Order: sequence, then C-alpha cells, then structure tokens
Amino acid sequence: MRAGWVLFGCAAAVALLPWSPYHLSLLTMVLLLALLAASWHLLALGGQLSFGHAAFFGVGAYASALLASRGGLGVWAALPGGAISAAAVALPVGALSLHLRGPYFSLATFAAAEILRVLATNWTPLTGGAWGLVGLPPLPARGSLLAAGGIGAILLVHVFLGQSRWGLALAAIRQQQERAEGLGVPSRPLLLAALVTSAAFAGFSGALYAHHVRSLEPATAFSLLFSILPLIMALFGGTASPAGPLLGAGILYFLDELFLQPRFPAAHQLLYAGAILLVLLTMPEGLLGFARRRGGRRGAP
Amino acid sequence: MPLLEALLAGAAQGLFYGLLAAGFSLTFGVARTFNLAHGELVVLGAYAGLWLNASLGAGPLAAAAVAGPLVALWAWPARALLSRATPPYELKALTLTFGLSLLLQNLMLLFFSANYRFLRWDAGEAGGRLLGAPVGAARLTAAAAGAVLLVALHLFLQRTRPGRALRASCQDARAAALMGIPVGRMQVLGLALGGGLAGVAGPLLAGLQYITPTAGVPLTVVALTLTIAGGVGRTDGLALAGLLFGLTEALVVALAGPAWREAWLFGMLLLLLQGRRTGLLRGRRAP
Repeated sequence: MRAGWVLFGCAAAVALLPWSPYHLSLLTMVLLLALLAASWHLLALGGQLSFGHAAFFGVGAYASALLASRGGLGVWAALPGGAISAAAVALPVGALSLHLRGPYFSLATFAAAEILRVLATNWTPLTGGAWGLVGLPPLPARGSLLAAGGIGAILLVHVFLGQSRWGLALAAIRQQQERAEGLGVPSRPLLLAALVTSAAFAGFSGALYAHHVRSLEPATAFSLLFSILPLIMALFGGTASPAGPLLGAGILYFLDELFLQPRFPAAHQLLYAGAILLVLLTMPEGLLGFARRRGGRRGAP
Repeated sequence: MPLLEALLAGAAQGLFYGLLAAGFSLTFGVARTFNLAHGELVVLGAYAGLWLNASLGAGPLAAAAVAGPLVALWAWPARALLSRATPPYELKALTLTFGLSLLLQNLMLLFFSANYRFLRWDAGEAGGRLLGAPVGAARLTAAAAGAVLLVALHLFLQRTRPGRALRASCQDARAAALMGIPVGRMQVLGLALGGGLAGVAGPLLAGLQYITPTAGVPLTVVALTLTIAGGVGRTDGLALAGLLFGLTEALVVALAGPAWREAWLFGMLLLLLQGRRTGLLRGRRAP
C-alpha cells in the first residue's frame, strides 16, 4: 500500500515538471495504462481475471468522445460521462458472467468485449462505423494529471477496502469462493460492485485515451490489446499490492515504447508475451512479490 | 439458388470446424485447460503448408500430412509449460496459453511478416457441382479431410486400447493411473494428437482463406464454442455441433450480411457459456 502511494506521488510530481510535448504524451499514455491496469486489479482482488476490459475501456472512450463531439459537452463533463457509461455497461456484462467461475468467467468477459466491438463497428449512425471518429477535442493541458487523479482515487478505494469488511470478503472470495459463500459472504453482489467500480475506472481511462489520441475506431478502442495489457501489466507487477499494476505498467510501457518499438516495429508485442510467460513460469507473485522474497522480508501484502 | 450454395458451403465449413474442435477438445481433455493458442497452431501448420506449396508444389493434402506431425511436436514444450502452472491451476493455465498465443503470433509476424498468403494448386481452381450448386475443390477437400479424420478419431477413441486409455486419463487421471494406465504418456499422446489435428487443419485452411499471423484468434473462438457445445472428447457431438455451426453461420452471413458473422460467433460463445460444461449429447455415455 505504501509503495502505491510512493509511486502515485512520484507520478504526480513528474507530471508537474516541464517536459517536451513528446514526453508529456508518453507520460499521459503510461499513466492512463497504469490506471487501466489498476482498475483491472480491483476486480482481480475478488479472484476474477477479466479477459475483456477492452469492453469498458472502449465504451468509456466512445461515450466520452460522443458526448464531447456530438453532445456538445466540454471535455471536463464528457470524461465522467465515459466512466459512468462504462459502469452502466458493466451491469449487463456482470449479469452474464459473474455466475461463472474461473476460466469461464474470463472467457465470458472476452466474448462481451468482442460483441461490443462488433456493435461499435456496425452501429454506423452513432459511432461512425469502422471509419471511426476523428478530430475529437483534446484533453486540457497536463491531461496526465487527470490520469494520476484516477490512480489516486483507486488507491483511496484500496484504503477503504483495507478498513472495511468488504476487503476481507473479497479476499475470502478470491481464496475459495464456495467456502466464502458457505460462511454467508454475498459473493454475487460484492463481485458486481467490484466489477462496476473497476469498469468505471477502466472507462475513465478509455475516455482519457479518446481525447489524448483524438481519434477513435472500433478496432483500436475495443482491441484485444486493451484487454491483454492490463492483465499482463498487473500480473507482471504483482497483484498482492496496489503498487504492482502501477509498477508493471510503468516498466513494460517504457521498455516497449523506448527500446523495443524503435528496433522491432513489427513484433514489439513480443515483450508483453515474454513478460506474461516469465511471470507465470518463474515468479507467480509478480515483480513485487519476487523482490520482496529476494529481500528476505515477508512483508504483509 | 444462392441460398442452397451458401448452405452447402456452410456444411463443408462445418465439417472443417469439427476438425478444429476435435483437436481443441482433446487438448482440453488431457491438459484440463482451454488452449487459447490452438488457432496459432493451425496457422503455424498453414505456414508449413504454404512453404511446402511454394518450394515443392505440394497440394493441401500432402502439405497437411507433413504439417500435422510437425505441429504435433508442440506436445513436449506444452507439457513442460503447463506442468509449471501454479494454483489456481485452471486460471493460470488458461493465462499461460493466452501468453503462448501472443508469443506465437508475434514470432510469426517476425518471421513471415503480416502479408496475406494463399495456398494455390492446379486442382484448386476446379470445382464440382453438388445438387446443382457449384462447390470449390478446396472446400470439398477440407470437408472430406475433416470428415475422414473425425471418423478415424472416433474409432481410435472408442475401439482401440490406447484410445480407451486416453479417454480414461481424461476422465479421472488418478483412477486411470491406479488401473495401470501410463497417464503421463497418455497426456503427451493427447497433446500431440490435439496439436497434430491443428497442424493438419492449417494447410486445408490456407486453401480456403488468406493466412496472416493473427488469423488464429477466430479459429480458437470457434473451437472453444464448439467444445462447450459438443462436449469434451465427444467426436460425434463435435461433428454435429460443427455442422450446425457451419450451417447457421452461412445463414447469418446470407441473410444479415458478413458484418454480423463475428457478433453471431461471440454471441454463441457467451450464450453457451451460460450453461457452462453441458454439451449437446451429454449424459448418454461418458466422454
């Protein structure tokens, strides 16, 4: 937890420094991906691995983009609109997936994200179809601070979970759902609350993305990449603490953007494939768990 | 009669889908995980076939006969990888195959580039007529190969001792081990058969559609959906589910347009997941 606040403080401080436009853009991108990874992790606290967070990312992106470009709202009002829309979409997605366990839940979220992608592609009057939307209004100056604010809000959710029975109940569901239910933990409503909260933050991340990139098409906003990245970043950093997803996002994104992409533009995603296999095969608790064990401290998660 | 033509093509495609699902469900049976890299194994087989086609002029059947055993070799690395999955096994193993799929896609991008490739051979241009509707030779070849392999697999699993031992290992590995079945060897056999069937499907697919390194993802989804529908290790259920799937797909494309094909595919997956492990022909006989 403390590491999470330290990372948050560093990110916010770095975001205030004077940077070139290119570096500011990198910073916004890494912070919104860290926000996406941290939102994915909120649901993983209950033991559910989503393979479809692109659904919420994409809905948030499209909702905010449409509110700003066609609804005439300012970006400040459109961004929360994206988060709320994603949370609303999480209700039917949760109804169709949360009664499924383990791999079946993961696959259901994957299917939901792909269905939303097809809808966005074919609902041309609203979304502009496969051509997408262009010329979206930009983020306010220092948009990276908005992403950092989202991360701060997620850390506050963790503080709340750490002090309430909800956090304990989620941990119980993660460890053994049947036993937790037997002890009277209402797993469905709790997981639905976790999914909706997670979706709201993922949607906010998507909304930031829309106004950062300033153009959207279904194939990118709902792409499998935005389902894969949070999963890999969070597992790579480690899921025992909220700092893990932030660290994972920072390390992997900068490695990819600054070293791999310039050298191997065709196959730079090899990094993400390698990272997920490395973590699953050699350090199941992620980078932070690995470092903690190496440091000899058996710190509390 | 364009609708009849579409339905015939759909049925042929359905038999090919059954072949995809047969390999996928065998892998699921022994490895206890959906193999999200199954489509990439098919594409790997397709690239092997394309290479044989370009260098030796091999047709899809000859190429499939070589590509199958080649891709079957994945059984050893796969077993080594999966044995390292930490609990909760099902979720970690699924994520592992997800990572494997991403790795294979990017390696293929690196080696074969993103160019679209197609397997051409002389007979492929020809075609026959069935019930008065034209059917391409490539589609007939894929359908016939799918049907023959499904029947062969069914006979192997039901009538031979190794086949029965394989099914026993899928049902209850511990009990099978107590009966003297070499469960570890059966797992390698199952993975090799699953990979081999994927490899065989590759060159057949290369005659049906353009191949790119990322062409495997929808194939995996089809195989996954059929396995959930048809039941694990149920060759007859998979063949039936494949046929139904191919026919309804053809109907959806013919009536609503190709843009809705994917919506229908993922909708079926989501719908079938609602019933989790139940299959069309479940209950009558153990898998």
